[in-house]
Amino acid sequence: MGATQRCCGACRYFTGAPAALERAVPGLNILSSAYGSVRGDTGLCERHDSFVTGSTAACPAFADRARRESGAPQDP
Amino acid sequence: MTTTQEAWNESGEGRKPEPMGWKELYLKEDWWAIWLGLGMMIAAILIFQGGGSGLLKALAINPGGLKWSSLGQLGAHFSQNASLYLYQFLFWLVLFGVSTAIMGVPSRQFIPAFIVLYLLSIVMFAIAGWANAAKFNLEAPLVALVLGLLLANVFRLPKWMDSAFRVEYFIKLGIVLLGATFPITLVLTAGPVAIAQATAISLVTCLVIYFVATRTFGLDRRLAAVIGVGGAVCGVSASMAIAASVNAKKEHLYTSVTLVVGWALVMILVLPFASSAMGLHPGVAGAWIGTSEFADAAGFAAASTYGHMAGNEDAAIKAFVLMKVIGRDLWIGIWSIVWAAIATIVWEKKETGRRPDAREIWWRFPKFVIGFFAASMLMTAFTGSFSPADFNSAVRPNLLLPLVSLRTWAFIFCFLSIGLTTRFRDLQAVGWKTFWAFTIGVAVNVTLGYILSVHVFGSYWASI
Repeated sequence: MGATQRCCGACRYFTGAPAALERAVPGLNILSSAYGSVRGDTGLCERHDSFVTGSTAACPAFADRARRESGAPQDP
Repeated sequence: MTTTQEAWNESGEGRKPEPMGWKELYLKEDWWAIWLGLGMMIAAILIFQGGGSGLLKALAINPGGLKWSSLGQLGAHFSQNASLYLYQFLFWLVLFGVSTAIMGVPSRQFIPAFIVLYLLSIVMFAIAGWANAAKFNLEAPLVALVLGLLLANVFRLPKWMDSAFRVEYFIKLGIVLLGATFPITLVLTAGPVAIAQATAISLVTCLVIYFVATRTFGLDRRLAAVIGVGGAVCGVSASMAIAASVNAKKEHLYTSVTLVVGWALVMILVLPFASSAMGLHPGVAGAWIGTSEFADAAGFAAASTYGHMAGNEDAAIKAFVLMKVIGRDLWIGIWSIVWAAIATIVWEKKETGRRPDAREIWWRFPKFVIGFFAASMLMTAFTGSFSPADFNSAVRPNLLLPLVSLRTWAFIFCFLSIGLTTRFRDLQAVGWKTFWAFTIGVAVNVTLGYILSVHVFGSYWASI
């Protein structure tokens, strides 16, 4: 798996969907929006409870969302 | 909406994550604001040229200009035009319903909530159309905000209704439509002044908040960066962009939400009356509000309110848009790169997960601004061929005023949505140190904004 594929956006701990983000941070939609261009592909890492950029950020705790859903064993 | 959810990278499709690319054209509300705004404008021009301006006027109906003095008069207006309001409702429902569904908002939630929003908007227009409304300062943005806050906090509207209360979407559409009445020459001549003023404000406010937070109060530097940009540029939207640059914690953004929303609401109420007390020219006040408010929607509500109070809404909102949307909002991408660079080069590398990337200026660019420019250029080019007499007798009443009415509908949807989504019980308690760090920044921002808008560039903004 290349480096690009291990970015946070493909990790099962990553929340990038706008509706889920607006649920995760109450009040986010009052004077802002998770559907706007400004957010880019910022999402919430639920493992570290921090914000990351889905397409460029990465960390050693990566857990492939697709492999988990296909039943394949996870990386240690 | 399985396809949409997959596109949003929720269902495991994202094995090769990369910036959204072309998908942004139908998954981001900025682009939808452009499609809808320019689409309405082009359709309006075609209808105007085809001689069917009656259809356009009918679609843009609102009771705001009625100046009614008895309920019977108001009731007669609605009974005579019931079918037009029904068509108009369906028009908005289809446009917003389809576009939000494509973005992934559940229609079963959007439709009933939008019905409520539309009915409340009619009530707002009716109040604004009362002959004595100005005497009691019943400006539509303020009334909409207060009514929305009451409904959200006293009657506790269910959270799912937020699906239709899309504050940012409505304000973006309104600003694109605003471009239709904004001569491109004004944008080009005022742009440099707005950018110069915005640059001073953005730098000073962000640095003041950051250094007060870290040096004076010893707060976490990621939190300081997030609230610093929130106060200096574009509120929560900017905070969210910078949160990823510095790997901010969820609670940092949550804190920024509370601070920005709290102060933005205060500013909506204070700035128009302060401007009135000082007798500021609407253009000057619009520029001051543009440098002092944190979010486009909140600032627009304040500028529109003062414009109505001063009898020149046009000057107030034009100066506001130049200052806030064209000046300050452009700083989001720049700050995102700067903070990513600081976090990776100056701070410890282990605290951050990525390097600065210049392409972020485009990725995080508020794309709806492109629609504003396009609308301005298109309408300037179209109306340039008319003589002043034809412009005033035909173009203004049959083309521009219906577009202004549609724009006003979008703004009323927005102002109501601010109140309807603001649930004070949902906001996180903020520590005193964080509160004061942000508040000192607000004080500097408002003071510097006043000096620049009134004393440095005052004559310029007064000529808008």
